[in-house]
Amino acid sequence: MSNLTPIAFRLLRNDLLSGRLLLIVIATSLAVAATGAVRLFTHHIELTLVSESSALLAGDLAVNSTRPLAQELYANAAAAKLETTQVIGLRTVVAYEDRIQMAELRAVSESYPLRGSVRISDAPFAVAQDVVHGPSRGQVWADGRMLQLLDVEVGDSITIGKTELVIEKVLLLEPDRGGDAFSIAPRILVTHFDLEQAGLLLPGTRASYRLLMAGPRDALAKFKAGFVPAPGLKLIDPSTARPEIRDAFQQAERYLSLVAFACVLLAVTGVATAGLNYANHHRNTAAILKTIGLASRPLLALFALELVLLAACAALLGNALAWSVYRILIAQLTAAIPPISLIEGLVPALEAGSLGLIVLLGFCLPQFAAVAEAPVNQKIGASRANSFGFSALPVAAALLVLLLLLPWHLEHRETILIVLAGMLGTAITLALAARLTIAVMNSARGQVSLNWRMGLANISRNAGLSVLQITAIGLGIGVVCLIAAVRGDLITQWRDRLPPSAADHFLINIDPKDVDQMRTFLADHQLSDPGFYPMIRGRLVGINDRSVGPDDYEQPRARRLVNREFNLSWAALAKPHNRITAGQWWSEDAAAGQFSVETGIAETLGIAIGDRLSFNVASDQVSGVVTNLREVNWDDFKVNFFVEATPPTLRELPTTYITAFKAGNGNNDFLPDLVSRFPSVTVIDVSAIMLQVRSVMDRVASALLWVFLFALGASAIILVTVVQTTQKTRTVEIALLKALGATKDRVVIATLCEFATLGAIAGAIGSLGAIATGWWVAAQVFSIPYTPNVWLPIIASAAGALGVTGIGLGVVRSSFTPPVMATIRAND
Amino acid sequence: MNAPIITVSNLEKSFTGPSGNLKILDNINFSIGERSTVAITGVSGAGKSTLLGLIAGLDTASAGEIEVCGQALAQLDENGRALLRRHRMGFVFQSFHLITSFSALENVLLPMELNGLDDARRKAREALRRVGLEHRLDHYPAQLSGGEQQRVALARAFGTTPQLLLADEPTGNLDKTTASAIIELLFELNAEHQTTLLVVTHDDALASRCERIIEIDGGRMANQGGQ
Repeated sequence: MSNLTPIAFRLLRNDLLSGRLLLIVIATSLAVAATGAVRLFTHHIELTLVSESSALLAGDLAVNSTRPLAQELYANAAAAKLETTQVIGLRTVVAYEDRIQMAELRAVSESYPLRGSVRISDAPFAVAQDVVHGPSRGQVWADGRMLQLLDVEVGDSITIGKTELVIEKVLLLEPDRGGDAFSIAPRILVTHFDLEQAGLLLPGTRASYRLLMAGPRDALAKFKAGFVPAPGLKLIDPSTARPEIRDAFQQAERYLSLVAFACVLLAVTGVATAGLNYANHHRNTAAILKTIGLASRPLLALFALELVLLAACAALLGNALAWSVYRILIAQLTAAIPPISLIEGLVPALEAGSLGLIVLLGFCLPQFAAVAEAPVNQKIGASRANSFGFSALPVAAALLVLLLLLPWHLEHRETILIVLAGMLGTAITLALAARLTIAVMNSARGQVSLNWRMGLANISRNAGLSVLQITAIGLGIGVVCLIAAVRGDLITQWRDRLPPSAADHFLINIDPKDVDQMRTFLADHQLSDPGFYPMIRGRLVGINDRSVGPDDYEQPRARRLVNREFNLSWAALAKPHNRITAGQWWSEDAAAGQFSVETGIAETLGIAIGDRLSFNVASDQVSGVVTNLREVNWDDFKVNFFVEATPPTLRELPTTYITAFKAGNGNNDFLPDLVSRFPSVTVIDVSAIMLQVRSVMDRVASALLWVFLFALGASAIILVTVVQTTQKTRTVEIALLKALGATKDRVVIATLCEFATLGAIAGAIGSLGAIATGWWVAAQVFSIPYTPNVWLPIIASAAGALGVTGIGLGVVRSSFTPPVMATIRAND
Repeated sequence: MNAPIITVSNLEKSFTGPSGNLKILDNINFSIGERSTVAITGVSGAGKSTLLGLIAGLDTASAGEIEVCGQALAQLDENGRALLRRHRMGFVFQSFHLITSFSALENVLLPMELNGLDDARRKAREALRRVGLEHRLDHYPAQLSGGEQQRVALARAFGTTPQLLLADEPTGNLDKTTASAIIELLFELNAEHQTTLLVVTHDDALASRCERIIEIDGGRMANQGGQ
């Protein structure tokens, strides 16, 4: 091997200087750059998402406990050099003069929140401001509902336990409130000192304790590694903190993984194409080296060494490109996350570089093996002939390479396997369809005009190469269609969840006799007629023949649910935004004694179809049988209930009504008037929560757009690589046609016909593959409804024809101008 | 001499290379009459092929004038020169340069169709029959021997009955026997079509078949004589 090294260096140097290696260097560097840049960017997006999530958790990590936090936890956090703060939550009674109101109290320290901000205002419905601290001692920040229910104003003092606190601000939103806007009791924020002064925290008090932590990633990882789960103790990761946006984050992450792999597929396609050309260039060299006494094995070793050196060059070049692309991409994002350091970027760089080596060896070595093994007399002079084509060896090598790439994406194995299977299926279909099309073209060539015949003849010049080109271009278009379609479906789904028309204000406790007046009031303020739904407070006391209480359940959520009253309703018709998942909705004239239960609560409490439920409503007990289960999307800000009943079941019981409407930004001047005209009505403003969720969704969507555009750019570069494969032959033939009297226009038109045909075929078949794979990915990976665009094959076909023609003509334009005689003689 | 079909006056061609201006052709003057056969000879690098390319309008002169078929090339743009080649000239190359993706028939058909000839397919078949390849119509270049490929090239060149046939080392890539057969065929076809033949060659046997030889040496005309 040692005596081969200088030869390998010399071969590489000469090949580099001669420009023969340009294609393979570009393709391999692109493989490295695509992988490196997407991995860096994906990593950055993950950090951004974690940061966004941290802001919604008020820290980078939290531990929830039903008991006071053990000192050991603080010690562990301190050992990991994490910043900490504690939040204690409990339900208590707040009093003002002779009025009392239940409240959800949260006690925080001065360092709260560690991440994100608290949104407050100086008065109800006044301009909001974001601050990064909690209230001061002796002061309380109270939910607007609290002010309304106690009929107090900012500046009044309210009694909490043994202490009196001044209402300093209206509390609009804490970062870690979550989607819990409908807590039965309004929320108040106080200091730990005041909680202690109030004397509410006695042994046996039912309270929740949360330790919030923040710090560098390695410190968080250290704490997580040392955390020992225990009953009543739960570690909360930012990614699991907010269920209403957790899905979006997870889907975004899966999407990034999909794009990363798609870019690898694109780059691999480019290397495969350029690799064939590269191996072909080596035929003469191989023949000459064999003639002077080099055996096949050392010859192959020599070529392998050259490939390794080439991979090293491509790794350097590709990673430099990846880093530039990454910096350009993150400059487009508004999230204030510092770029990954060069040291942190080393791992993705090494990964991308290794991938370049695997791809290069995997695709080129089998070709070189064939060249090294072939008899000498088949090689000399053979380099001029195109000898592209598929054989079992490169295809098997390609599959092996792709399988070797899997460990890079193990965390999203399902996505990758589906995309791989889908795209392999597409590639096979493309190859078969390309062969068929070329055969049809060959037979139809006599019937078409000369321009088309020249174009079609170029396609069938070498069937193997054209099949490879169509497959590569089709795969490129297919991958772009796939990631575009999935991105579109994801964003549509997110928008559907929170459409612009979603309600941002809820009115509860509407007296039945006020419903008509309220409807008129809302109509007078240009608010569309929202639905009014009956609402009855009830406590679940029995399932079948057994009575139920908090002690019957292990899960904290289940214990909470049976420990408090929740909202029941009655309806003759099912709500259109609910989905019946088991049983059947009742008829409009159904008799009393039937319940419809939300699937989540049914699962938590162990309720099934046919169970008999008993509720305490005021002093009455109401019973009925569960006849159906409903799936409810709690994130869509629509009026929903855990349990609904047939109208006769609950109609005669004490009822209030609830309604929801969209006030829109700055359109809530009428709310003080509403509150004064309907004093019993409580206003719940969820606009702050909606704004928070929308902001996160918008950032994620923006990130996905940039990633998609990167993949699009990568596919365009692959296309350039593929088109350049035929550049040399094309240049000679164009010179020849010109010598025979063809004008430049005619040559350009013939080339245009060729590219348009290639692009149209590749686009149509690639998009069909993308539709099939997209459907599979949507169903299996993203669990989203997939609506295939029936126009996609036509659009992709037209886009393929235009794109390939545009890029193709751009790439080959230099073939139209070289001196004809020199070009022809250079190939004599 | 018949009326001139090619007139070259004070022709110069130079390139700017790394070592400055390099004169490839200098002060070239000659005329070639219609239906005559002329060989341009000289050592490698003498400028023969450059001269042929200039006469074909594939390159432009640095100075001087070339008139072909009564048209001054300097006054024609690129498309004009392409049309002149299409209607008046045929080409034969050393490496045959058939279009690899076209069958033999399609290669011969190509200039006929570019010319818009009626009944082109029949004429192309006839041209191939004339060179003895009627049984190879649908064969692709890779399926033909060197001699057969050059015969297809001759059929393609003469298929449009050009006034002027330009041949660049037509026997350069052939063995002696095949080369002799091709030379024979070239002159037969030339006689049949009454074409003016201008051939660049190293092959003494080929040059000796021409009525006149123009020898180029170091970019200048060293000798021009008739047989």
